[in-house]
Amino acid sequence: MNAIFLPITLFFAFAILIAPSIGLAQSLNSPLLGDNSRWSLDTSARVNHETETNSNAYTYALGLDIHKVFSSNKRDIGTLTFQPYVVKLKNVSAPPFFFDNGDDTQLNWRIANFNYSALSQGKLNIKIGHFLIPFGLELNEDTNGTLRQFTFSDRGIKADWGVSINGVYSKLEYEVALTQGSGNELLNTHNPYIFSGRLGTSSHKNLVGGLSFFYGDVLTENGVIERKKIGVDTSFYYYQWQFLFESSFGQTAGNDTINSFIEASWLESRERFKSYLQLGHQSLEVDQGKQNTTYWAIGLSWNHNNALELSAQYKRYTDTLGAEPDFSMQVRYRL
Amino acid sequence: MHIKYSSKFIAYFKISSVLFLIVSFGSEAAFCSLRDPVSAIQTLYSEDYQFKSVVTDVTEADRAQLKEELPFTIHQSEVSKHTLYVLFTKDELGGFMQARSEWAKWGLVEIAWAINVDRTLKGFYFQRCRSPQCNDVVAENISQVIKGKSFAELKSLLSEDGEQLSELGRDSFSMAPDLALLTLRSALKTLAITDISWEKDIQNLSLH
Repeated sequence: MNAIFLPITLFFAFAILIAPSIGLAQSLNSPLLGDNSRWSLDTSARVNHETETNSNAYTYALGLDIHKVFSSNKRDIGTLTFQPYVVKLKNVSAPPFFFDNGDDTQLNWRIANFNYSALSQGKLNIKIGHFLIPFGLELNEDTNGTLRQFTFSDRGIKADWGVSINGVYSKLEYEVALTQGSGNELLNTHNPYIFSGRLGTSSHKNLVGGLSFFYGDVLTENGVIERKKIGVDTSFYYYQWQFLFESSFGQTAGNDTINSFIEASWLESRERFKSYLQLGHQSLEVDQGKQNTTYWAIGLSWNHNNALELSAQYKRYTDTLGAEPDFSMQVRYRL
Repeated sequence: MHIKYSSKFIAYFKISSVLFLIVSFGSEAAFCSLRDPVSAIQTLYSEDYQFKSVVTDVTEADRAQLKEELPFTIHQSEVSKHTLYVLFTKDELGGFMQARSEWAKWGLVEIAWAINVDRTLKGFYFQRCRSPQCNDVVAENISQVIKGKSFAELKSLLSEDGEQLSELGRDSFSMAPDLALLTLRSALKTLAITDISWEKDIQNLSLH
């Protein structure tokens, strides 16, 4: 037990040590960032039990979260969202490709963009920087830094550097983006790109629908992979229940693929405890025939004052590829 | 190389970490999830408009002051930064918009409030309400009662202790009385906190 607890404990001990500098930074908040700004520090420690090797992999993240609205005398000009994170891996057997190895430390960009909104007060905005690829369920649910994830792995990318036009009408929301296709990497030599977009009904309603497209070459460890997808997504809320559905079809590296995802979740009435059950299925046409991958995941999370979050997830594949079950736990704290 | 940690050392860090984690700094969800109530503004303000965000700290003192005006106050978790959207029509001050949260038995209800310059209510919009009761028919029914009313007029629809509708309130709301009560309490808090927490900002706007 100590083997799991000690690294996490030391990580948060480090956070205790930097707490005085947080107070200093808060006192500098106004002069540094000006009016209409907010900021916080986001820390997390995650342990993932790798069943195959019977070992634990750790991921530590320490990041900044800044939000600032720039305004003139009588209108908003745009919003800056800036979330750089330092991520340290320890004993990770299959790290994301932008890490050198499973014990590497890298600067990771979650969201870092400026959304220029002065053109028509929200109906036509221009976003530039690092932002979520507009596809499917990702846009309306904030899953950054959480164990709970949807379908981005099917497209090989969650957020990317680029430019988008986006806007909100009384009954419709849209975003169309042209991005680098390189995810966290700002510079690359493989010339990837992604053209993507989503058109959806109002996200504040209890029944939300959307249509998405995704076309481009996505940077991976072994060069680029061409992906083409058309997707449909639906969210339905009923009191404390939330039901999500997303399905897409298209091609990955020239092979036909169909991906489906559903989730049912329940949120306790004080919104501290959440539980969810996910089911996912992917079908991929390859030379040898059809390759099917199916998984289910169950997850729990508990938060205190939207600051401390403890979460756990168990994910199991039921396909023939023999992927081992995955069990993860995470402690997250926002200062 | 393996470092041997003494059991006291480990116990110290376990306790200090738990203490550190329990202490709350009153933070918010990730800011990338913050959204402007553009859809609400478009629905509630039909004429040409432009808006400006004014973020302020809603303080513990503001919370206490609100308690002097109403038999209830905002939740302690709402003592943090909040945004007032100031609307302009043809360069003239046209009103305000503010989103506030209320606890219902099934979770948070978030309501976007449109406020006239004279601090009467222009209208409201359910930004997040996971009950099927929060439909357009019920919203319109509640809106017809509270639209154009001032703080004092709205307060007369509420009982002395603020926990239920007054006789006048019960007669006025013909549908979904529980949701009407929740909406009414939200309206009163919104009007009061707008004048308390954004007092200086609104004064500055009036001077220009």
